Amino acid sequence: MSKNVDQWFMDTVLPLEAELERFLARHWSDASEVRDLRQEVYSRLYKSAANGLPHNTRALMYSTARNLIIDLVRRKRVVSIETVMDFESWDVSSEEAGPFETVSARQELSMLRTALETLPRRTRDIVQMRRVQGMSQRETAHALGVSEPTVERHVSKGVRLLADALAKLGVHRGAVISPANDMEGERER
Amino acid sequence: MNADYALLSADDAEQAAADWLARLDREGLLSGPVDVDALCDARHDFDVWVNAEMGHRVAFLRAATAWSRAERLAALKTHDAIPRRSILQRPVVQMLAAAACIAMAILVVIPLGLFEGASGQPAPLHYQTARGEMKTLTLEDGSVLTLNTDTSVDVLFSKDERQVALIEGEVFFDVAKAPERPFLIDAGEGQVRVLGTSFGIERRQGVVEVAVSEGTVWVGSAAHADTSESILTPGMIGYASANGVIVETSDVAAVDQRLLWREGRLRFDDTPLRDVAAEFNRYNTIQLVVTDEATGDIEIGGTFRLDNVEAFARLANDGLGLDVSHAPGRIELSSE
Repeated sequence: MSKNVDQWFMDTVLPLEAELERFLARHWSDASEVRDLRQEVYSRLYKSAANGLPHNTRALMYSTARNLIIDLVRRKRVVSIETVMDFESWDVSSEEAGPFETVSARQELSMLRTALETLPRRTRDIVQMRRVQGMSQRETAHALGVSEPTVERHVSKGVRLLADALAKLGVHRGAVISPANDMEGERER
Repeated sequence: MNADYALLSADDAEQAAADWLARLDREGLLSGPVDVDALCDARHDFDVWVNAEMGHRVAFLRAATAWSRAERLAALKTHDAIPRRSILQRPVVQMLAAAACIAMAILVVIPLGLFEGASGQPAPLHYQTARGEMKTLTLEDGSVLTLNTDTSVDVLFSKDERQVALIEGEVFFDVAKAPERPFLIDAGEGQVRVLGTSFGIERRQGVVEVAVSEGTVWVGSAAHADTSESILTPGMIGYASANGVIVETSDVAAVDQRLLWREGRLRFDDTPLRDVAAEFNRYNTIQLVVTDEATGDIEIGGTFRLDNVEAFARLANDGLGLDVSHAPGRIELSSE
């Protein structure tokens, strides 16, 4: 049961992350809180999907985001005039399922590569050894002459940064299709 | 966050999730697809943590998805062995042979005048990008506009209508559906009306190009405010000019290719070098100059970073054997 919901969340919700954060940033005055709001929207979406997967995830996401903001506003925070005005013209029913773009394996790879390049050097090296070379954390520690807890710390840091970078890059991205033979040229770095 | 309504801190949850992921990875428990239930069975303390808060679970799924996607980087192991030269994917001769293969049905469509004046409105919001810059705007209705290089738009929303004027440049529109509140685009020579869809519009040298990737779009020419309309569906590209509207029926893949700039890339298929140079020059201050006709005729295929004109010049040199000479602000390409 929770496995279905997990899969739905990973395949359908996560690709909308950049879109969701833009929406929240547009309607919430404090940019430093957008991630917390996004996290709360995720939790609410997951809870509601646990009672039955939605037909239209995107529409549900927008109405969940909107309801969250309304909850917060009701709890009497200082709200900018702009936010209040936005509310009145805000028609969430219009947020219908948009297109899910698919990306080819090659596009996915170049996205991953770009994300990888945003990591600090040491962390990137370790993520590379682990994911590109397929070495275990222990082998990685051995090869670099550092302790396993050090490698583990870099993996933790690396995965956080990767998740953020991929969310930024993967605007409107859906599932991956057509593995091998799209005819793109090798990407220049 | 605010004490009245404590949200779980995303930072805390994501940090904890990443720490768990690294730990499970160290123990070799993360091979194959993400399976939270199996991990719970393997580690009781993980089970307790991940099920303590919904926020923990979603944060872990987010981290695990990134980590499992990163596994595809293993493909780089082989890719890096491919010599750089392979970027020019096909020999020139083959490119020439393939040039004639693009069949397209062309139909002429009678244009449509759409913008009846909406007067007494508040001033529109203005957005623009500089050369080489791209910007994504989310409008109040949730529509998303991606502005390409050298683009400027005015946005004016009222209760009944959503209006965008494309003053110059190129925009990809992802329009939120609102049938009772049409979305109108005034691109000078071409007028566009949509209900909820996605498509790209480019305004350049007196022609407005509309490439549709999803939904239905009505296009009309400003110069011919007649009563007919041209309807574009996915895979169609409409060209509106002072002479009317021409519609090219292509396919969705071709349309998506035209919209690759949103990812910072350009794709060419059997495209003459002079057109390739012109395309790069839209994005870069360093201008590619093709010095002679014969060189301009050489056809190019492949996908390139639009901001890396030096790399392209290097490839032209390595792959095509062209002469490349650097001058201030420009790179000249010639055959001899």
